[in-house]
Amino acid sequence: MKHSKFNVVSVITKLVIILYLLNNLIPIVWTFKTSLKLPRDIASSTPVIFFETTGQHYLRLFREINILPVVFHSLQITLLTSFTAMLFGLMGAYAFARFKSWQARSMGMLSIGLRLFPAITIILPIFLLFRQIGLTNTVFGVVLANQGWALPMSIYILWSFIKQTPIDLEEAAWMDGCSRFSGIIKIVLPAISPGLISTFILITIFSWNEFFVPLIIGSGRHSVITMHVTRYLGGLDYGVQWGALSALATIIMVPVLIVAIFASRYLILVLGGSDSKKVV
Amino acid sequence: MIRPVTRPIGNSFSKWVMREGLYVIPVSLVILGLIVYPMIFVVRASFQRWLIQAPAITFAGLDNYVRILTNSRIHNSIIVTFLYISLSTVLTFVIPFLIALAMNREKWGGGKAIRGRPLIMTIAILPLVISPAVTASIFRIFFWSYDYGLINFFLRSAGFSRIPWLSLKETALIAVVLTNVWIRGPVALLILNAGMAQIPDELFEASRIDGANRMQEIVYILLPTMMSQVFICVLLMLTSALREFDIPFIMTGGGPLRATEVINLLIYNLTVNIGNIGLASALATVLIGLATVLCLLPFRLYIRTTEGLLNK
Repeated sequence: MKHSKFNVVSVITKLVIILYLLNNLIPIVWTFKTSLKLPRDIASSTPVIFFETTGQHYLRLFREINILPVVFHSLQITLLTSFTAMLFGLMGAYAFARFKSWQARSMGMLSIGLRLFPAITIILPIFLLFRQIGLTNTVFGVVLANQGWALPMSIYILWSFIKQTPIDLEEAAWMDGCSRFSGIIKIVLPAISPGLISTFILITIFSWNEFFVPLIIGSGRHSVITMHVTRYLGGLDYGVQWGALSALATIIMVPVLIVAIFASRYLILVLGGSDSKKVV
Repeated sequence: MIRPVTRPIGNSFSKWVMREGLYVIPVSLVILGLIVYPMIFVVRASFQRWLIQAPAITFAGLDNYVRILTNSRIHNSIIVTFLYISLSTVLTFVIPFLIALAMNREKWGGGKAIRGRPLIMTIAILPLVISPAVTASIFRIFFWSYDYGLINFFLRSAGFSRIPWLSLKETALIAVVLTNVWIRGPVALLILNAGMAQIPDELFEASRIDGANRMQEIVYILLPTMMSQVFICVLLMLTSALREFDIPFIMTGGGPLRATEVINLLIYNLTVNIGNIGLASALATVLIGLATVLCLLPFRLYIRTTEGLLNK
């Protein structure tokens, strides 16, 4: 191989990576910047780089949609969804990984396979059912409907982690007089703790971002924060509330971006296969 | 294998409930109630004449399915969905693959490894964690907008005329697909990058001694060795494109002239705006069938390759 100072491959690969990172960062930074711009700078036909900052768009959110209760409500649904999915997901994943009965196997297969179906195909019956028993427009209803995607996801990820922990450890604990349940608490949970953290973070992020389920099940009084973006979209090229929309987008993005930056190791672990040491 | 409770004698079902049922039954109830019951409901409703405006629900036989075969709006939607899925899947595989190649250049290209990988990976996954609803809104107004969009600003700066991206039949679908690629790209990149990073360097060294050039190393060494990741990646991208609702719903609402009305959106419109639940259910049933063919036929393969992926 030639050893020249100017390596074409090296230059091209660096360029590709830098372009990709810019492609990821520009929309985020642009949104954040626009949320602080004055209306006249937003409407300028050439992008303004240096500008006077203003907080008026954020204040408008407080005035128009009373953003604090909405954020609180979103947070409530998010955390309840994650905890429920973790609890049921652990039971399901453990059963699927360790039990050999047809019930356990078909439960696991169903939950993993059905994860791949479009949500729109099954949301209408859920909506009709929930309306009949008075669960639409309630926190509990949205949390329960969220389990339709959150539970299969949690079962799938936790299953892959539990499967990797050798059963010998548990068997040793049973020999020492542990029950199945205390074996899970004392042996399995510590062994899969990275998996637990990853699953929790992933489901928390996804349920904070969820748009479709709250749109159908929780419309009206109990709306979540993501649903408010449609309010400021306007028509195709007119009536867009640029400032308010980017302020709202920033409020939705910032918490998940912070989580993603500090927990990127766990996200990569769970999404890119288990060989994270080589990846990062 | 040692079990905490020995094999049951006598009433085996109640023993099963005590041993495994405590774990299996609660989860099964949720899965049955939230996923299996709705599916059965939808299949049943697809054989009914069920309009929101009309009071009575009557048996309709195959009428709804006949309408699927004859209705031009549905035909259009199927074509749009097919275009959307194939374009999205190809692009969300090819672009992340090239970036993963760039990130693992020391494997096939020789030279030093890329520095600052943790930082690169952290920035690379950011689009993934932002709500698709928010991303679709941002892209709709900041990038694809005719008057103020960044894309049109660059086009004009380069001396081209501006394009009304979201109002043209031809470009609207491209804009929606590219937005989808921005959102789903990171997952594909993570999977492909993990696959590439796992390939032992010796393979490439051996091929280099045999005189392989870079292209040959990529085609004959790198791709075949990471086939399971390629498969997983394509399957995930295929199913996530099939599930897509938020992006076209927010960016175009199905327009212009239904050029971006994917099946998911059509089912939503049929249910919410038109109120023809029978027809919507029939379409949903077709979609379930399609998803089954796409996902569950290679399901065994899917399980096997993921097991391989996760056990390595």
